[in-house]
Amino acid sequence: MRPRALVLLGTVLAAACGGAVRYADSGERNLVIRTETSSGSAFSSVKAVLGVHAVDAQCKLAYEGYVELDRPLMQVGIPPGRLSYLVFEFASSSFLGGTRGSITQETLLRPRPGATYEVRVAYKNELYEVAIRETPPGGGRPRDLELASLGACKR
Amino acid sequence: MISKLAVLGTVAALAAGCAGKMPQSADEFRQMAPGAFMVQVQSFEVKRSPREIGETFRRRAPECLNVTIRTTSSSPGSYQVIDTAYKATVIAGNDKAELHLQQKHLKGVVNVYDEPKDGHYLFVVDATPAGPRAAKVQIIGPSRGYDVVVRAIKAWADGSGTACPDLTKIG
Repeated sequence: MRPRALVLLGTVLAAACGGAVRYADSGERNLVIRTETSSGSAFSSVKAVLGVHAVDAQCKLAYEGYVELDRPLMQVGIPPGRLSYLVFEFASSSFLGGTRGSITQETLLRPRPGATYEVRVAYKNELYEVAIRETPPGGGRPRDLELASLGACKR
Repeated sequence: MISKLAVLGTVAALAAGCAGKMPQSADEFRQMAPGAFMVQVQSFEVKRSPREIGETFRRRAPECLNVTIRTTSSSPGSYQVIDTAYKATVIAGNDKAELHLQQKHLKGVVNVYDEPKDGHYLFVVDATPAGPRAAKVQIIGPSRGYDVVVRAIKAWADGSGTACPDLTKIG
């Protein structure tokens, strides 16, 4: 729980303090991200952002940048063969009450070379979901991946 | 902001009940919460076994509910930050599935009563057998302000969805 909070805090601080960097794709765009967000109210909004962190052998994170998921279909390149930590953030704000909140869904991902990953990012009626499906190199049978917390890095 | 704080205070108070003591376990919550102010007990049947429901709880609850949330509210002359940690516990077997959700305010809310280490009990959900491949699901929790959590748990229980509730929207 604590690491999640710290990662989120780091992402928010990086974005808020002007130190935020847009993620630079590396190599082929192996993530196909389909995003659907709806706050369900004319007086509030929600936006989705992906934060990308590299994970070293000691499971330490190095922030690499963010991608605003502001289009229904986007492609992002995550280095194959290397462990990355992907943080999907849903940030909502209310125009009337001045209330803001954000919630995240994270996962470790080590993309296989040549594989593609379809990521569904959805926020609707205050329910959110991130689902990842891997299609093996050469277009084999896709399989759904379980999201893995940072704690799984040490196991 | 005022309404949010009021609801937070009310939830803490309802968890404490009239006895001035906060439930320290899921069992105590089951005994104290029904009939308490602003507590609701909902029951419904689903065409899934308790084991299947337990598997879904096990898969979704930690990922969706073990989170720390920061909400900020601002208005002219005031700025409020509330940090809240949630902890889900799933007990799943062949004949019963349980989901407990605890809530602990880390910052921005002062507790009136002594609460369990992981926070006061917000929801206790029980799924018990109700015929072949069917279960009765009982949700005990706040009667208002937490609709998104109830919707998510109902969808997990009946198998219609696996989405997570946005816990920044509750209260």
